Amino acid sequence: MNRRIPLRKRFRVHTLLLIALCGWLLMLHLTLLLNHGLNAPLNGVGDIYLSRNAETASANAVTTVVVSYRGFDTLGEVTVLFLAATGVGMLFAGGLGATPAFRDRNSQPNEVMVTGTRLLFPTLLLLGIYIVLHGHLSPGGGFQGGVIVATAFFLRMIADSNFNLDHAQLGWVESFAGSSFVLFGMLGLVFVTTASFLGNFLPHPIAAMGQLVSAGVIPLIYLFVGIKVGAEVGAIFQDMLESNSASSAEEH
Amino acid sequence: MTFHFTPVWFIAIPLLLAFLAPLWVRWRVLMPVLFSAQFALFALALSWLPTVRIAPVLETIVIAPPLGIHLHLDTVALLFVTLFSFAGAVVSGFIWLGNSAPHLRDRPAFILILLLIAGSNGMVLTGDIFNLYVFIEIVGVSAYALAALRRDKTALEGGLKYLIVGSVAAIFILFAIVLLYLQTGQLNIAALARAFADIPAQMQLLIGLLMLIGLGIKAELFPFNFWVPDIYRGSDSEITALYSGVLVKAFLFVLFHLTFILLADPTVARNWLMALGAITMIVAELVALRQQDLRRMLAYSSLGQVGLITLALAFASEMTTAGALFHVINHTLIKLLLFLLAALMLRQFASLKLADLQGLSRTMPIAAGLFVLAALAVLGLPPLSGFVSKLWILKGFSAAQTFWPIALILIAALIEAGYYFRWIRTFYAPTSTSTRIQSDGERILNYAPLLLIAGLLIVLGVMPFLLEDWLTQAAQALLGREALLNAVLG
Repeated sequence: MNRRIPLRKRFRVHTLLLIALCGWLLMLHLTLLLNHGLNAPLNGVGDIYLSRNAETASANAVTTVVVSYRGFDTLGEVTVLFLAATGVGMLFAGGLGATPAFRDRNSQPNEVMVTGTRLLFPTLLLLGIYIVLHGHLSPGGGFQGGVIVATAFFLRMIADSNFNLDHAQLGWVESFAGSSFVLFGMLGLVFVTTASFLGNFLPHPIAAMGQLVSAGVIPLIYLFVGIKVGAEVGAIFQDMLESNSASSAEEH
Repeated sequence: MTFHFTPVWFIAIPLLLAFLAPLWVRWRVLMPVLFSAQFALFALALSWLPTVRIAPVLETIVIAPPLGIHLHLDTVALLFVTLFSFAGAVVSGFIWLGNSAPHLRDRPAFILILLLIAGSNGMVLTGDIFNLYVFIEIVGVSAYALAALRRDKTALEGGLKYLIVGSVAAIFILFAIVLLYLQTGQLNIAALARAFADIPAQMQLLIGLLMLIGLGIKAELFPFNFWVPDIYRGSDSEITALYSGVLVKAFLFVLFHLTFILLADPTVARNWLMALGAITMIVAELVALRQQDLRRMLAYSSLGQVGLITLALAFASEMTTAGALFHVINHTLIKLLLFLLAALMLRQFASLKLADLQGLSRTMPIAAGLFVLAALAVLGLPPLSGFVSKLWILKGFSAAQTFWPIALILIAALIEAGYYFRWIRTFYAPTSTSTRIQSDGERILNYAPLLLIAGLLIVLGVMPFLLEDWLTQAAQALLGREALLNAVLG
């Protein structure tokens, strides 16, 4: 411990300087925002996206932006989540030893939890799938729906101590969805009609706008995003529960 | 159906390979896939050089530039992509052939290394500022996880520290992007550059400050680099080689690319950056003098070189910029060599403390020899490539009649000589027998990637004209604001 004290003393100066700098920046930020920030120009990128939305035949303009116009960003965000899930899996694998056990998985969950989950699980699953599949029609989409599906499984995990998601299977599902996303992007590059990464190479007539089968590749890509997000968030939940049960098992 | 090569490959192929990781685990080919992917991308990048030198390649994704995302592959971007793929190939080759620790050959390491390089490629290629932020996040998250890869106490501490510092930096960058979008309604970097002059002056200053702090932390510039040595000390040397060789270079590129593109008259920003570079260089070299741990010494030495590169890039004359870009290549090669040597030494000796490495030349003659070569290249001695790049930088400064940077660079080189020779003297001192933990002889396979780098250092030093045209054109591309704006916006 003796070695750590000078280290902390060294860091205190940095910390104070950093706080002072952040405070000054915050003041500057707020003053400037209130003076200049609120009169945003009207014909920004967002407005143009909105006015061009009809060309993709996706009724939900937000989805058009997320999956088509800025689909490359979405691929990046999916990758960030994938990296986070990989990192969590790596850190929790085998337990860190020092993590306190928050709950004992071997004890019986309470009755309200079990019954409630029995009621909620199918509803949540259905809601999640609905939100994923209707991403191009109504608010929501792959990210939101995927998380709802993962939450449904998470409820099952805490309500039933024998219920486990198989890591290997989750890995395959997630691998399938992720690589399909990239392959669909590459297909867009290959077809002459689009000749662009993530281009919408399937027919998407405007007449079909608002129907379940419309908007070309957009709902398909959102479905892959949903599967991938669901599998990754599920794997994160599973990792965290497993590490708890592992460390509590060591204590017994 | 068409099948043409586009810059998208540099990002899409690593992503696809990373997502398919369970397949490679099943077939037990993780490391071969990692190595061959990086090597293939390196070969692809090199084969593209003639095309890109005629005209930059602009790849539209879904809708055309000012609205959509586009990738912009010009000579300077190609230079960095080539360098990153090469560094990735060397490090993965080293891990694959050189019997590195199991946690470096596992699925997480495969994914994280692959995506670290893919993200760096994306940062260099993208022409859209929000897409740039997404790649900064990809690179950041993989770097945090890589720092903690070994999962012992120092590694976890380093990873946590990196996570906090890196996220704070990312938030600064994000704020700057939010303000830019609020003020101009644009996300494309070229369109932003056209509209930037209309932003109120105070707001420009705030955006510039936020960007400088965010990117300064990420690019390890003084005074934002206090966190660096702890992380370099905590992570595996194979990984630190990537931080110093790839990560920092990508952020330096972004910092200068944005400065030169967004600002029509970057004089003020250039002066700030030159000052920061000079201070970073001198402070880091002075601190390196006192380090007792090889990895910390290399970390500070790396910071010093980053300072030198910043100083030369910020001066923004064509000669210094070309020299700085050449020095980017040299520094990446040298630090790859030194950090991989440190990894080999750590495997033979239990620690990397100065006292414990005494007499290393007896057990590891090749390693000691390569260390001397790398040290001479950092100092910039004639037959090696470091000499040429430093000479170009000094020539650039003297051509512009600016002499204080020359003095500082020479002083820094003297200090560098001081500490590198202290380490070399220890390596060749008489043996202290007790510290050796194993001697399985020196496997030549371990050294194959290192000998390759050493060869390159000599070849580039003797024949710098191999790269001269490319580097000059890259410097013009980095400084040529109008040319880029016209190419993107028409």
